[in-house]
Amino acid sequence: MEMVKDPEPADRRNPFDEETRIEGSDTVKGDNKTSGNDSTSPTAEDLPVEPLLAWTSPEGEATPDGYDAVENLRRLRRFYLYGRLDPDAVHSTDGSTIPAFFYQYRDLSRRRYDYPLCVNGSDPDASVRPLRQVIDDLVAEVSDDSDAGERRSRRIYKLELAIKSMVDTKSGGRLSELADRAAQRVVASSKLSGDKKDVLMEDLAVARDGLQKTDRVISCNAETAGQLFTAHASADWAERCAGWREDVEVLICRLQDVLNADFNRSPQAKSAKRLRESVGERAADDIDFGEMSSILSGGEPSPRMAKSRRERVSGSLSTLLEMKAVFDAEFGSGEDEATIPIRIDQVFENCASAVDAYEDRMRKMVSFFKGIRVARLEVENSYRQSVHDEFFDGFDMEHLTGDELSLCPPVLLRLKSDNVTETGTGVLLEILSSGVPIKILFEVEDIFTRVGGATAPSTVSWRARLAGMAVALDSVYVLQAPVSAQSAINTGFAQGLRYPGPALFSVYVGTSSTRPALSTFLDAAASAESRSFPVLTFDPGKGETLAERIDILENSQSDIDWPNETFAYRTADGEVCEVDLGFTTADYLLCDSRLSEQFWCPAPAQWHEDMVPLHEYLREAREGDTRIPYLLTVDGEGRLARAIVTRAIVLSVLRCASHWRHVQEMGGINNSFALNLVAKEKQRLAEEKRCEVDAIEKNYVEQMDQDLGELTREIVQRIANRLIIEAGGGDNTPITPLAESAAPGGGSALAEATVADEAVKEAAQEEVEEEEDEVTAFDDPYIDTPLCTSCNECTQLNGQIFAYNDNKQAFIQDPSAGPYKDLVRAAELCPVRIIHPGKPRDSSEPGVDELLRRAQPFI
Amino acid sequence: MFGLKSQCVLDFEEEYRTLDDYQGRLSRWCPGCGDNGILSATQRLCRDEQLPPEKTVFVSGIGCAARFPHYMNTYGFHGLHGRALPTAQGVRIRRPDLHVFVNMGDGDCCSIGTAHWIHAVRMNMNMVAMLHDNNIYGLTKKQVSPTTPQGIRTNTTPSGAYLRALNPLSATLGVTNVSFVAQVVEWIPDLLYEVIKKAFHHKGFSFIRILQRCPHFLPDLYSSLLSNPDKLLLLRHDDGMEINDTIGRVYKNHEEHDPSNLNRAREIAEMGDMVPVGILYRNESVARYEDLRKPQRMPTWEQKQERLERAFDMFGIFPEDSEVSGNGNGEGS
Repeated sequence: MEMVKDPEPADRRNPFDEETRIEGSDTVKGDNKTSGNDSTSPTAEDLPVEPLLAWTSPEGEATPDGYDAVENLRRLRRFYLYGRLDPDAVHSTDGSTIPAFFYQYRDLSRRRYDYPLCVNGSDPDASVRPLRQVIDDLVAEVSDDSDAGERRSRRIYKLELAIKSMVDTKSGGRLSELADRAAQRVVASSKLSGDKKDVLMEDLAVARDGLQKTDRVISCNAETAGQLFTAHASADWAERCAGWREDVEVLICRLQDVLNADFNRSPQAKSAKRLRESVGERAADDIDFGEMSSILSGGEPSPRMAKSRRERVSGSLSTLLEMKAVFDAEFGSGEDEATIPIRIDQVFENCASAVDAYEDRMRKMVSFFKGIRVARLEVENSYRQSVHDEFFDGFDMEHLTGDELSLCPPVLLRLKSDNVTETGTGVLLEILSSGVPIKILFEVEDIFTRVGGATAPSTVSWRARLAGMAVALDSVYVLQAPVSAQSAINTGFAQGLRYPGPALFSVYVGTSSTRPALSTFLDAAASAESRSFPVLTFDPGKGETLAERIDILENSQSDIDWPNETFAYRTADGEVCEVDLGFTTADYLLCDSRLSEQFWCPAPAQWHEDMVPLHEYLREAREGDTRIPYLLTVDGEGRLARAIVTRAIVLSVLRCASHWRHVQEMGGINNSFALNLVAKEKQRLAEEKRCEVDAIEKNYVEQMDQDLGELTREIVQRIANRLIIEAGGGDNTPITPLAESAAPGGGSALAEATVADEAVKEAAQEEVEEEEDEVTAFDDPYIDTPLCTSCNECTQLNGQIFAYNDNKQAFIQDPSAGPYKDLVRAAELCPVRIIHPGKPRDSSEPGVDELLRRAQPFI
Repeated sequence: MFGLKSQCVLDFEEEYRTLDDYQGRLSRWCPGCGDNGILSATQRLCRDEQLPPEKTVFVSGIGCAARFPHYMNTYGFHGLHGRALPTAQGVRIRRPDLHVFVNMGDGDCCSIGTAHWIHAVRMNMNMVAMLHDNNIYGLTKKQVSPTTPQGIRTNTTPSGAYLRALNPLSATLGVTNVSFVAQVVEWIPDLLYEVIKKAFHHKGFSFIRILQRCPHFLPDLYSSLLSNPDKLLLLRHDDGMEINDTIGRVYKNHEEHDPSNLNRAREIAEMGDMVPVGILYRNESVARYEDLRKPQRMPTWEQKQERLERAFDMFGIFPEDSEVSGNGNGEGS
């Protein structure tokens, strides 16, 4: 189990701890550079202590006085089955008892994990980054391998620690301001003086300068999801309209050019007043503009643009000018709403108003893109009224292309799960199933609920399972993650905002009212670890199959039921022991103050040997199981304790486990269909293999029999031959082997050869005929057209005989359209010698013999 | 439905342009002039690529070849001697949406325009530059040019050209940032077309030297090449030119030459006994000047007007007692 994801191995040197040792010295020697403790592996003193075992061990060696095993078992079973305690017993959960795994995370202040975050609205590539990453980048930038560099990097880490402690206690703020305050705090707490203090202040100043770029720092609390939502939406919008601003401006310029060009042809443009204005004040008195105007206005009036076109162009221009503000507006700048037709940074908190806003935006965007398209046609002067008027009259959302749709600002809707009313739920489902691109942040405030009063068992609320329902709708981008899963949230928000349809981000934001002992981060992380609120993304845009769309790998140890990890503790004797523990839903529920009566921590004297850890109990649960499941916990004083859970809790755990298996199957882990198929296929292959082996064995036996038979025959024959020769009656006539008699007769081969000969003769005959045809064809003139260089010689000589084809290369169009003389002359003129004049059609043409002689080199 | 959207109706506006649509005025080159073949091949390219005439520019300097823009029904700029390339570069940087072609003769490019040629190669702006190399100044009636072979008698060298001819291929291949160099002869139309097409699709400055016959002044210059196909060496490569079977059978000398191999390209360019035909060198990764100096955004109408006003003010006529001195800065004294 990994509640707090460790940074990369390079970070394992735990800069915080090293930093604390730097104070007294100015330089740090090399051996210190790599030293330091790994904050994730606590020392033995940090481990919780196991109390002395009070119950009888199975071997029965030590039985303390007053230990009553039967009575203990009765009490334990009574609590497990009915949740009842003896009057003298008390429930465990005074708020300080926590699941054993939480023990190592009880103090997050010195740990480096994904929070706090730095949010930078102006940089789409790095809009949200963990503070530790920002600090690491800064260290890489300003430090080197020298002693001074090492010293500086440690001071920067110290600054990080100070910033972190301020953010943890407050709600965050601008990074530069926090860094200033943190630097003051570091300087104030430093024991350095004189030059060394100056160096410290210089190092901190370098760090502060490096941190100016990023914007705000936020910690993990109930508001974090909303802040990340707007930060990502801001980055997403900046990315969407990058490049478009310029396009719109260019179009506006060009439309203005069109209108200006038209205006300059108008009589108003040539009026004396206008001319005076265009010359300016300086020379205004030296020129007679009235005269100038009359000269310019004389003659034919310049043709003007049609009125309909002028109106169309100015209409399109005014639409673009109006909507340009949407692309120019800085997200969150708080500009006056009246000047911007669409407030892209507006986050709606009500489904109905989001739907209204969507319709209003689409109306505006359709008119904008209509304006854009008209503008594009107009600036190219290719607007044809006969075609385009009709097209643009019916222009609506259906006409928008994917690129254009992606430029429509998404509607942001933020809902708190507890505030969603019945009507709101209906509209929400309508939005999700309709496919309109409304991006919904659904903040789940409580995963478990009780339907039917305080005595009813706690069940998972439908609100926490809304994401699963949305997956079933098939066309919604779905992210389900607790607010602690920062990487899943970052990727999910970015992808969901890019997705062209609706997106549902179901984020568990922690329940501080019922879990006061836990920080929001730990609460949220535990919800995912305990499989109550698994991390899940469903991206319908990624492909057709579930395998492409669903991703559940962000869950830790996603291939098993419960995350499992080794837990270390000290025995009463001071020895360090380790035990494998699973983190179940019950561990998560243990911290819920509403369920305190469902857990009981009996004193060690009341334990019994039939008590088993819950994850083991669940693994081997069987009918009529008499064992008592417990959770390993640590109380406020660092002592190990066992918390007995009631059957109602176990049922809740089983329901969560069942849901987790469902999620696993969807995510392709232990998919039952696949497992069945694999089993079947294995069986089939085994069957096939067995048949193959049988067949090989059978063949082998047959072959052996056959070989033995042949061998026997041969031996008998040899013996017989030898006997005949030795008997002297032989005439040395060899015995004809049997095989020869089976040779094919020669007759058929001869017949085949005859047929082949005839075929050759026929082919030869055909060839001769073809050659004769070709000889005849040489009489006609022709041109090697592909080699023609289009020099115009032949076509200028006789445009009737010679013509150009589509590639402007010459061919003989009509050989009879001129005398043979022209063909010969053209052949002689052709610079690439590709005209072949053939033979004269009219042998009576004058000088035909001479022409034939001249034509000879070209035939 | 079926992935179709109704905006597809706009597509039926497309027109198909034939070769005749690209024909400007009737050509007035001498009969048999090799320029005709280059013109046809270029028009074929325009037709096959369906280049919009209003988005295509042919720029030339002075010379026989410089008449090229007159014969293309596109935009054209018949400029000053040797200054075709800087003009084309100006067009290119301000109007990156246009297809730019440059037609230069050997005198235009290799003599008076040499400085521009070298720097155009170095700046590597996206355009096709065709060097119509007929080894002679034809327009001025047979004067020696830098590529005239040694010993050829011309009107300016009656006892034969004194110097060895300049090799435009090795000169271009020696310039920093070279990105496309090819050589082709105009009397094999298919090859000519293919080379121009490859050059057109190359992103950068594509330099093609086209060996071109001048039947009037140097009728016998290439006769040995014409009558003996074995003197041509066709460069072929999967990444360069594909040679079709017909041409491959007639011109039997081939070499498998990888156009990314600059050293081999330089060796090929220096060949004395054979005339290489095909793409000698190609490298699209070279930076293009227009990308480096791309204007960040188009000026607004007001900015344009302001700049124009400023330019006009430089030539303004002001009364003598005006505060403005006529020194052209328009700022006042």
